[in-house]
Amino acid sequence: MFRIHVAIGLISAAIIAFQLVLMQILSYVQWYHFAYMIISIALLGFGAAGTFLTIFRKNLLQNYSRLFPLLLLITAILMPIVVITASSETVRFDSLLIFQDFRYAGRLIATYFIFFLPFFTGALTIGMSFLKFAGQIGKIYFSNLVGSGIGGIIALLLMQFILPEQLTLLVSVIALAGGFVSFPKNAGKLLQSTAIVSIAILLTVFFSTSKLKPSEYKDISKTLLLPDATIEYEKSSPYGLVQIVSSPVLRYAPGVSLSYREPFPIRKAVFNNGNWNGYLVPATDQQKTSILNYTPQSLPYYIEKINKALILDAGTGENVSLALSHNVVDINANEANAEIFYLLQNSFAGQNEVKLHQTLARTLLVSDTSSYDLIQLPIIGSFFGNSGLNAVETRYELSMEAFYEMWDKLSDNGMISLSCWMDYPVRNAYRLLASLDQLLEEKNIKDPDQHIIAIRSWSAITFLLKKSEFSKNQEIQVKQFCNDLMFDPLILPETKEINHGKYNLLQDTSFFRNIERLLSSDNKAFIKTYPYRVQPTTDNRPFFFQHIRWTGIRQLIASLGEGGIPFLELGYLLILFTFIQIILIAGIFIILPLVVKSWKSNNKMWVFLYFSGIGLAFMFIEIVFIQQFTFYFGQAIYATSASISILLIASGLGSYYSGHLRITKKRLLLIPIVIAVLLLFYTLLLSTVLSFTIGTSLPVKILISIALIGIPGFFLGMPFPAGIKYLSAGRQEDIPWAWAFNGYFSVISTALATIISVEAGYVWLLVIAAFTYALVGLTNAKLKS
Amino acid sequence: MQTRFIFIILFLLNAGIYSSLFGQDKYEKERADMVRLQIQARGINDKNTLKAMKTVARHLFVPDEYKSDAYDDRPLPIGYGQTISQPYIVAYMTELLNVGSGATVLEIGTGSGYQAAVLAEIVKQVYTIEIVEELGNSAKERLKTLKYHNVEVKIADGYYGWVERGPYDGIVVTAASEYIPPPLIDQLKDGGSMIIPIGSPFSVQTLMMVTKRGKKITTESLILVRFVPFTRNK
Repeated sequence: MFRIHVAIGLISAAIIAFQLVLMQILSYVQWYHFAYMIISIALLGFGAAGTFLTIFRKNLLQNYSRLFPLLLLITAILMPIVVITASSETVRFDSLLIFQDFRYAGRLIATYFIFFLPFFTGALTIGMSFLKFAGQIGKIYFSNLVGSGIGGIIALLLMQFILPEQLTLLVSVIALAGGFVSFPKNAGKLLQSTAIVSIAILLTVFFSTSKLKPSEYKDISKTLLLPDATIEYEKSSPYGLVQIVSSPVLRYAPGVSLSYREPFPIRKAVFNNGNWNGYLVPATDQQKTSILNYTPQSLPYYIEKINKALILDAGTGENVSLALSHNVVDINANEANAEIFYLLQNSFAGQNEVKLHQTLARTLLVSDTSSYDLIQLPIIGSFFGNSGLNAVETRYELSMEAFYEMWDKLSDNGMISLSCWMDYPVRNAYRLLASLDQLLEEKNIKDPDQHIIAIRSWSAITFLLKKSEFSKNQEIQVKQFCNDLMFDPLILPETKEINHGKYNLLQDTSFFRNIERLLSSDNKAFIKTYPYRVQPTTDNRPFFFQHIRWTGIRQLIASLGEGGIPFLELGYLLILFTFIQIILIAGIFIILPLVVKSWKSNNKMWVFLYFSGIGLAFMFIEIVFIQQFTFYFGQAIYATSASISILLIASGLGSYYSGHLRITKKRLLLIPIVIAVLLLFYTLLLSTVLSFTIGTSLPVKILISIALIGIPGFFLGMPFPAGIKYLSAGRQEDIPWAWAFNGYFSVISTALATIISVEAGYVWLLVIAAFTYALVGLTNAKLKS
Repeated sequence: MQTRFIFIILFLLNAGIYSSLFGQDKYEKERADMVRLQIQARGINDKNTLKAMKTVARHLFVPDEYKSDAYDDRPLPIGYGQTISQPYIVAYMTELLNVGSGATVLEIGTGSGYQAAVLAEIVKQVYTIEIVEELGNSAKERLKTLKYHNVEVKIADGYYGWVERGPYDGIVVTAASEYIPPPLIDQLKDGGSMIIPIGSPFSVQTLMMVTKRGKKITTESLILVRFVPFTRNK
């Protein structure tokens, strides 16, 4: 029995690690949206395995001792094979083409099914064990959850040293180990030959692993087409794959003024997961960045003497370099991505003026107590436009809470500098201005017009918000700066009749009227009626680039044409597309086979509500924890893995404990109610507790996290095994249905949680989860003892 | 036996000729519809542009797998992460250039060669530069086969323009970048314009017109007439 526990722990670890590796691979070859798809596919594997178990239950359980290791070996073989197959020319899909060419939608679905296979076979081994040892479900579930938790940690550790394409093989070795651990003494020929074949296949894959090929539309693919382009450096980490590319024609002049007549410098480009991250600022000539002085972002240095600057999300150091070229004596900058941070450190090594912090912008804002003459963020949006691929990306540094924190860190004459690329239809600039407006309103500034200046180049807009009023002299300096660099003023405190088109004309002049409306008392009406969401974002809904509003969809279709919508918000549409796809596929794989088989039970409604409820709510809670603790630790990847691992291990302990409990009606009622009450407390207190303790030391923060996640996690581990245990006593025919409902709702919950958080916010996810558990508990009240 | 053989030959020949004629007719009709419904309907009136768009066989500039979609109202992939622009954008850029039959035009980013072919129908000489060697060579071959003798293709870095052939009445930059190269502005004739599409191929694109008048350079962001300005809340 011990060997079975170990094998279950190993396959659970392998499944979670494989899930993370696939997310990493898809983030590189495509975009990060497919993380949701991978989670759903994994859960679908579990749901479908449950259904498969129902149909073939007898045969599977009769041959358990041989099938269990056999399926583990097959899972080990499938893991690298499916990655190779999905990467092949005939199957590989491209996100950008899904809405352009339906064949790619078919390829996406094919990929879905291919990736599904190892999750299905792996989950089948766990499901079989749940059924085989239903009486000891608590212990089996414990092995499953603890294995999963450890699997996540192993994957993250491995990502630090090994490239994603090689990781798949290592993960499959974990599954293989599970197969060998559970290898029976009386293994038949089939099992023995499968073991030999699996080793042979994995060795073949080891010696023939080829490099991953990113979408031809990704930034790195286009850059590598340039003459003599070479990848000079690459390093994998849980943040992604960082690569540096050089080419003699790779020039550095982002949005530079048309009055700049010198040759543009050649620079090396940095990519993270194939996406553009910035130019490498050479260590030798930080002081010679004159080209940056021809960009709108250099405006604050022309109108105010800056001694102390805070450069948020410094990336490869462009804004740090700009500050250095203006002799700023004290520069603080943050970058969360460990690998990019390493490059940043190299670039500015020996520069005593520069202090670098490897953390998120928000964490630095909260923990740092200094005040600054300038707080500058990197330019927002994308020059090329990115089809709204980043629509569901969380941007906490652009939420209202972030702006309040920035304001509090400004010196008396301090400024916040925000720039964005021009987009059409205009969304980012309106949202930024609306946020600055709200900031001034919240801070009870008497004459807000005197605190904002904006200028416009041929490609970008820069907003400056000053804590004190801008002086008349500063306004003159702004005009001079614009004249010299062929930019146009957009907002000036004193001049109301601005010549908007001296150098850079806009055909759609409604832009200027809308800016005026945003600055007027009518701004709320404008925000409400503009066809896109441009209201300021909050920590509860930190999706700065999500603009589609369903009430404005008719107007959008009228102006863009029906086919135009995917051109704007592809990222959000991909989530919706995935959600619909998941509902259908999960229905077909999990529910339909059971419907065909028919189900005789007098307990149908309870089984449905109980198991679907806990399936749905568990994932909602997981997503809220990931979101809250990312902000808390300032390290997205590590916070995600830590919160998932703590949650899974605590749930495993809860499950283990529940194995010793006698399952009574009262307990079935009580456990979900306790969880519901805890969650309601969390809706009120979680973010407050985290904000209050964010400045404490790392060990203290880890202990707080273990307590905050562990306590509900412990209880969250109980309902599923308790429910199965309840059914195992005389209602065994209901177990497959319970498994299927739980699986189905777990599958759809990931994408659904994202949609709810975009539309309503994270707090609502927690509230819905609490009510779901309350409903589950109340349903138990009607159970027969 | 011989008669049967002749019949088969005749049948095959007939079928070949018929399908070739039928195919040609089909594309001509699609092209005419494209001009009428996608281009004229959106306000493009320049006769030379309309004639050029009606003449150039767009289906010969797209990969075989997309031939049947060649006249659709959208960009199409041509490989190497590049696209052939939506027909309307090609027409709009051509009209905006506002150049006559004696003009010399420079194009940066040959791609499939379609924009160059459209311009070649209107102006005296088109010079086009492509940085991706594979794309440049196939466009060169294609334009030669289609007998566009007034188009010259060079595989080089477009940043420097083509100073030996300049100055130009107009420049079309089909691959947008974060900067406007000073050498291109230098190679524009006084009063000449440069047109640049802004936005990735699968996002909403706008056009930018850069005009040189003496030392003053102005830019104008032009919305495509397909998109109604958001002026609802005047």
